[in-house]
Amino acid sequence: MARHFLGLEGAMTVPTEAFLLTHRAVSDLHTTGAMGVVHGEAGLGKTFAVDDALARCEGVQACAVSFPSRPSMRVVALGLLQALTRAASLELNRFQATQQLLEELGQRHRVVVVDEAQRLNRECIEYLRHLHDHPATTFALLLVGGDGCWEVLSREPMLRSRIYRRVTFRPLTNQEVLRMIGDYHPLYHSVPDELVLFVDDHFGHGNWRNWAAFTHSAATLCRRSGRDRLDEDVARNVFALHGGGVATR
Amino acid sequence: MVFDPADTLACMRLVAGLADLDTGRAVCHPTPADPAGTWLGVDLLVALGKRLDAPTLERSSTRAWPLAGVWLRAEPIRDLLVLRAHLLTPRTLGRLVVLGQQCGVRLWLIVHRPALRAAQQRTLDQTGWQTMGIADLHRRWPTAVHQSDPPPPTGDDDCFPAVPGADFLVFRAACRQLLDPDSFAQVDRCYRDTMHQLLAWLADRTSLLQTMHRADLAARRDPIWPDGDEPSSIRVDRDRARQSLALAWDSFTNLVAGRLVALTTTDHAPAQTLVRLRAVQAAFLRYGLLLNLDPTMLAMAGHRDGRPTLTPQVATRLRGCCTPRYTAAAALALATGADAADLAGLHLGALTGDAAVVRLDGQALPIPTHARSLVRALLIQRRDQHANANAYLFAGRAPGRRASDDTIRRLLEQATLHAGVAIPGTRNVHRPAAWFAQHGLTLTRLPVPPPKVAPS
Repeated sequence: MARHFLGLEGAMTVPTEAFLLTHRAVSDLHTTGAMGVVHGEAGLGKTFAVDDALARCEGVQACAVSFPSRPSMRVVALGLLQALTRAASLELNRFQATQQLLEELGQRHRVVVVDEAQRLNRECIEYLRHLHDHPATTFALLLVGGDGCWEVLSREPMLRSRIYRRVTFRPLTNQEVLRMIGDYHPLYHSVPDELVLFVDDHFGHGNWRNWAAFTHSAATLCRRSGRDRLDEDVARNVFALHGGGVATR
Repeated sequence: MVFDPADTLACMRLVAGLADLDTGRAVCHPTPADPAGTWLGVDLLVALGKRLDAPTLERSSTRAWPLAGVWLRAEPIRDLLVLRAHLLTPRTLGRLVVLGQQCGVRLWLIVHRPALRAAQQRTLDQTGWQTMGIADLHRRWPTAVHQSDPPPPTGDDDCFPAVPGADFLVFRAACRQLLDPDSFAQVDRCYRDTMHQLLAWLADRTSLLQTMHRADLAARRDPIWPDGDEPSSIRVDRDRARQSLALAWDSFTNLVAGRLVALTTTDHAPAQTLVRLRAVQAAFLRYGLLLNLDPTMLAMAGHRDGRPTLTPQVATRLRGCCTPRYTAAAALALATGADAADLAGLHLGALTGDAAVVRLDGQALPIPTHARSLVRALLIQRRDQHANANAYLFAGRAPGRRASDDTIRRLLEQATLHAGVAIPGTRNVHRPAAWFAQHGLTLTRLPVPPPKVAPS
């Protein structure tokens, strides 16, 4: 199962629209062996949603990998081979690694998840396309990326027609925060809407990672002060602990 | 040149779906960023059905281009489609064009850009080329695309109909009466094909049969002299005739057994072997030969009697090897039952140009259609080395010398290892007398002269 940010105790999975679409996308990609993209700003729950979808989708063998910024094709080849086999030799050249990758990727149906896909350059995207298009392979490719990911990927004509599923993660609106936050953690049960919006405006900004950080700190303060739910005092203390909150939405 | 400026998945799928070696089309997926074009040779071999790891395992990566040329001609490939041609350097493009010209291949370059770069264009301008749209490509091979269903059974698959146990005199009539029309058509095709082959084979041996018949008459001639009064010269002549007849008959029986082994090598079911042997019985009778068959023994001998055979599946596995010496040695051993010594002694002239037939021990043995390219590749490679018909097919290290038996055995072992198929190392199991006994067959001459027919 996917792990909540900071290992937050008591946190529940909230089925946002993007979360549900990610589940559907992962399932469809696995079935069709196609290519897909999940993108959005950092902290909106992309990786959590993908991890959760892969864990819940029966029979899916997944391999997640990420590369440094602007990697060479050899780095991509060896990194992917290492992630798939756990035993890749660093002495292989790119062509030898490619040969082994083509064989490995043809062994069974897999979903290969490339995180931080915005770091890839054109050559590496061409290389991943080559692996994916090759008749010897049978894997689905899911590119997951943060800021600028879609801009990078959509520049490549080769990807435009190959992206079978695209899921965009956006920050939660105030209405969505109000509707979902109560289901996210017991700390927010029966908390007034004004207080929730106060926290969201000053800290959460519709971003799950911010809300997880806030909740982690708030839960600790509540436990120490014998409270069972959030109030404004606790919220202001959490802001102080985090240096006054997260600056902007 | 086919332009796909939008670099679409549909175009890639269309072209990839055209790959069909059996109809002479190969599709190459070049590895990106290969400035020297070295790896394109390996990509071409993979497009020609070679396993991904074969060039490395067989240490032939550096010889990939010449090997690709050999296999392009051996298959033979008529249309070679190369995806992402815009990524190839001008030098690699030029090399590809030359290869296509040398191998008589129509080269289709799929360019996923609106146009080629100027340097690429200049390279290609030296050759005549035409532009075609994706739609034109689709129209050219409409039936080749999206053919996901396997072709209907042709009679050579594993589903051979069960046949009645009637003796050969009424076998065909019993089949016609008992089988449904489709099954009978399949059985009868096999029966007539075998009959045709055997009659042609026997026609080529008419003189031998007539010689045996004359020797038989001489050996059976009743003595006209009373006991003890027969001149010794006449007795010696008769004994000599009997001895010659025995030797000729022994030789002929061996030939027959060898022919029957080859004939049934590619059978997929015991019923198919039974149909062939019934046809053989009928053909033999026309030449005054009675082949008795005990169906119980045939059934006990089992399907293929444990011999590895050159089925299409086995041929496909062998096709995964890059080295023509491996594929040819394995295919010939499987198709003919030849051992290492037989293969080492083979000359180029023992094979027909298209590798359809190999002459071994005086017998013309067919090589199944699906496996001919495996042998043809070596023929082409040897001809490229300027070997003539008298040269050995498996050349030794010294010029003009043949490969040793041990070398051939190693080739067979390598083919076994790389292709994952079982290949017989000896032909002990095919010793004629043993094979006859194992299959409940006995061959006798009838006291009638063979028909006077011209050799085929």
